[in-house]
Amino acid sequence: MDKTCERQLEEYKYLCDSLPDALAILDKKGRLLMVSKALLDLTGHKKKELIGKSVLDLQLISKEELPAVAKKIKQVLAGKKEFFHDITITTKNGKKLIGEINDKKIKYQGKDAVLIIARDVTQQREIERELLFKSILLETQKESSIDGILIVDDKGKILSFNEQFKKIWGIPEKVLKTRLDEKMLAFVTPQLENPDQFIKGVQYLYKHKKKKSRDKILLKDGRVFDRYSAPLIDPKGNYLGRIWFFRDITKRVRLDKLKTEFVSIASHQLRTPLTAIRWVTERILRNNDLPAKTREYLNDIHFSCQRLSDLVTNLLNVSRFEEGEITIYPERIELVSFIENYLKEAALSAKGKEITLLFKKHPSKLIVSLDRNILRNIIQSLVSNAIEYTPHKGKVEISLEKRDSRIFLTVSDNGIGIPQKEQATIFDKFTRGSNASLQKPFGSGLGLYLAKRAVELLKGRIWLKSEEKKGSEFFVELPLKVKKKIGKKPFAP
Amino acid sequence: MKNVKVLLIEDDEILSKVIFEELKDAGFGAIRAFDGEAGLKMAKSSKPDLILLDLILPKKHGLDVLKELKSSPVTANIPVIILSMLGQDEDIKKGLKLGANDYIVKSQHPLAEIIEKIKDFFAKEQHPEAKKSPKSKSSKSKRTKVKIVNK
Repeated sequence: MDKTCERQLEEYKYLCDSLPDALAILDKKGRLLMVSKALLDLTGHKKKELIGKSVLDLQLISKEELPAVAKKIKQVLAGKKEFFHDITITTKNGKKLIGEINDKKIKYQGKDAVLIIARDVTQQREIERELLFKSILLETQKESSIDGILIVDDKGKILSFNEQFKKIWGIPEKVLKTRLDEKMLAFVTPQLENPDQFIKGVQYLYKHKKKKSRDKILLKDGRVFDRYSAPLIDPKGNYLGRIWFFRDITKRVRLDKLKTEFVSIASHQLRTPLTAIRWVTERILRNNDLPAKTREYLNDIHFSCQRLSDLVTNLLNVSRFEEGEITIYPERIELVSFIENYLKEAALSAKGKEITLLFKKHPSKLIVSLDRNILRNIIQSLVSNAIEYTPHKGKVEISLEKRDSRIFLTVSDNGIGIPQKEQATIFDKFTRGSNASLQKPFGSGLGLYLAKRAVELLKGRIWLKSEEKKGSEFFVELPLKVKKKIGKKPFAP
Repeated sequence: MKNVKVLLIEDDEILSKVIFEELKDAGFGAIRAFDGEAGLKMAKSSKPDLILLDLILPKKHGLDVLKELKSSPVTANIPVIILSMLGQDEDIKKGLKLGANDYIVKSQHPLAEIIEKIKDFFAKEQHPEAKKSPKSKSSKSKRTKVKIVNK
């Protein structure tokens, strides 16, 4: 070999060894004629362990895959096109890798040979498998969702949608195939009760790219959709597009409306006869010559009517809270006499019990500007509970104080108390103390829930201290005045 | 109060009877109707000093009765107190806008209080300055003891 040739060979070897892909050249029988450094790194073998040996004997390739590999080598030599395929390679220390192999026919030292380029794609294949899994998962999720889903890119081009989306909007395939947001909008808007508002909403979101939004859409055919939209944002914070969810909530909305109407009608229908019973009883009770027993029974009737009436009010208020915004109508109220008047009423309802009801500590006058009905509900819930759950000869004390521009109302009793672990949830809807249920099996569990909601409406706070079998103390902090707020309905008294 | 004529328009027979008797006991000259149309006719023919008007009425809704009362020069000046049930807040609002002077939520008040309210109404009519005096007496004592002993 002359010097030029030798130098070229050196350079060629250097080049081979510098490539990240592993190279090997095989002769017709599969024997290794040349291996690059990367192949040694890949397999963990030394050069002398490989050169001259057949890849088919080396246990680099698993037995199952051997026939296929041998066949491919033959085909390449016979003049077939190059192949790309994956094989499992077992390294010297037993580790298994996935190699992507490229076979090519070449001339080596004047003879036909096969050049193999191998690359470790173990990680890549794993990532690909994961990606495939994720995309199947995503597709399945999308298609099994009860929501109609639409995904558009940052330019408003439709990227993806599900069958449900097509179905609830009745959009023809050819419109969706255009992939154009505006074509689809042109199809959607004529179906809407209020298309301008809808388009405004969409435009707003395309302008304020990172905003989420949720609203209700009314359709001309009477359906109601819950629309939710969120931006697609990559980890670097770039806006990629937007996803829209549409859920048909027509049934739910109808049911809610029916429920509200039912409560309202029921409350009206119940109240008329209740009022009649109360008023008639009231008139009879005015007769001073009634036998004692008759008077007692009439008082029982009157009291029961009051209880029923309160229960109806509570149910009505719960449904109003659920309906939405409640009107707050502040009035000038002298709180001391307001409470005194209520206590006189409460005294009548403490029927059959000897209870000392004490308005213990209070200023001579305290003027507030609060909603009468809401205020009454708070006081009523707390005082009637205190009376209800305080035993014979018990004591219920109320105190009122003004500090800075806040009022503090305390209602305490020496009744059954509330078990420690139930105190955190005692203000929840339909929740009662376990000991309370024992004492009085039927209670609505609405009193304290409504009291808390009522206090919050007036921008106040309510909390308690209680010990089982010793008594409870409820604290209410309220501002001196609240602002008028027009909502859907007022708090029912 | 015999010279004060109150027209009661209420369709529930028992409620009507009780209020009617209570009005008479309190000394008012009471007359009554059981539906909207009859009430309107009676208001025009007998020109009462006050009308107690229920809202949900047969033949003509209370709000329509009110509208017609206020639009006729014969009846426009007769004060009207709406008798309503709880839950009719929207209607009460409409009624007050249409010119009703006040409202009473029936289920919320003892019968006696309704008569008080009517009496108050006439007292205020006669002594406008009385409007400002607080209705409830405030207690000066620091300790109000309500001892309840039943039976």
